[in-house]
Amino acid sequence: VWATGIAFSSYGIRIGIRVNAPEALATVQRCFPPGSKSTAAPVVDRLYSLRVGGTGARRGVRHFHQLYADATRLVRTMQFDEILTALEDHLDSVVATEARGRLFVHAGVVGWHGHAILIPGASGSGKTSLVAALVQAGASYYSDEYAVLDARGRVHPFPRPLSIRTELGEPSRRIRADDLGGVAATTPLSVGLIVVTQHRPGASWRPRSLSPGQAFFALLRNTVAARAQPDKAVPVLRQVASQAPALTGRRGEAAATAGQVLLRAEEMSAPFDHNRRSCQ
Amino acid sequence: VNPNARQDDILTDQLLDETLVYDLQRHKAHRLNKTAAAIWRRCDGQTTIAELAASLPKLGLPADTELVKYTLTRLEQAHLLQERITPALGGPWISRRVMLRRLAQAGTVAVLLPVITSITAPTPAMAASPSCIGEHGIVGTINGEGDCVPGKTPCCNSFKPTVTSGGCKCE
Repeated sequence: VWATGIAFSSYGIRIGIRVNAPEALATVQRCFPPGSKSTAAPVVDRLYSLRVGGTGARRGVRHFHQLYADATRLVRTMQFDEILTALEDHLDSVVATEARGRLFVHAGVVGWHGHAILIPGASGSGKTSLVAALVQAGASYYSDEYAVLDARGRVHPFPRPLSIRTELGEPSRRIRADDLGGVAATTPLSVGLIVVTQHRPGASWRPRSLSPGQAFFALLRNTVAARAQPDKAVPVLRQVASQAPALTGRRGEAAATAGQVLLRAEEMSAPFDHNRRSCQ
Repeated sequence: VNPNARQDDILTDQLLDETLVYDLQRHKAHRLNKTAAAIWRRCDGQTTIAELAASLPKLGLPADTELVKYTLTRLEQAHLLQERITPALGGPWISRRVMLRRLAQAGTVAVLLPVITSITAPTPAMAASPSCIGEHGIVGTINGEGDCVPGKTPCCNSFKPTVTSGGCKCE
């Protein structure tokens, strides 16, 4: 029943996908996490199976598209786009949880003057809109979803196109960094500023400093593998929290906040001394 | 019974003045300020409460056994002691407000009050949720200090919540 398949490696995890329709393979490859490399390994850690439905042999019969992760059915739908969305989300989730040598934190990330600005936050906290505004203001694009940290606390690009929310219940729009007039980064950076913020209409951004311990907590509560790999997560997050100043405060519109964030990042890009922090 | 700091199934790290402790059994992270960490580190099962109190002046605190008991109670609540100690301490328990007043009367600044802040480490699903998980697994919202304030949000549907008097608890 399976016509063809492909295996790839992403952050040390080997993943296989098999399909019953060869023409679907090129489409699903677009869902692979950034930086994935094809591999000839005969054994994989995760196996996805995509059964493409559509019109059946019998007249008037249509089959569902179905996607499985190992033996678990993830989605059964008539809309092929929903299959692709589910596959992309699940692949990202698996990689973020099980990545070897990298720690994934839910965060938007941009680069500015040689340092990364890290905006930890869960889905719906307004990361993407702030990241988009920062990229439009000249920052380089790293990710609107994950800060990918190495053992030294540097952040690596995870440049999936930005996922801009539209009306409630509507699928998100995908926008590339260059569509915003920005560029997607390719090199890792040390973290220069952590911004903990949530969007509140009408608010103006008047941030206050967080202690390194508070910054550590803000990162930990957004760390995907916090429970699965605490021995890896704690030292990396401690490293980031100790090297970068952190600010917190609700923000208003992203465009108005972006300029202020970049200004703060410039002010704080000098070697940081936590003992000289000031609250404002 | 002399207090004994827990050594097993925890990760500790130092972050400037604060001590980070990750509980591998309960998947909770704790931040101990300088005073709480100093008392916790001296809990070796040999040192008495009176001896712990006698060491407090080095930290700029009065040699007050009630302050040690207050700290031990909080360390026990955070499961950072090997054995329960509060039954041996006896009551009544001193509240944070009373302890602050005692420190003020002794001419000590409030920032030296022992403080332990805790959060539950998120599961992958929790990490993607807009809510935060605070002390005792209670769902809350993040305040201006970046801390999780429990009981301010309705129950989320995604993690089999149970409602407690303190708010919504995620399992």
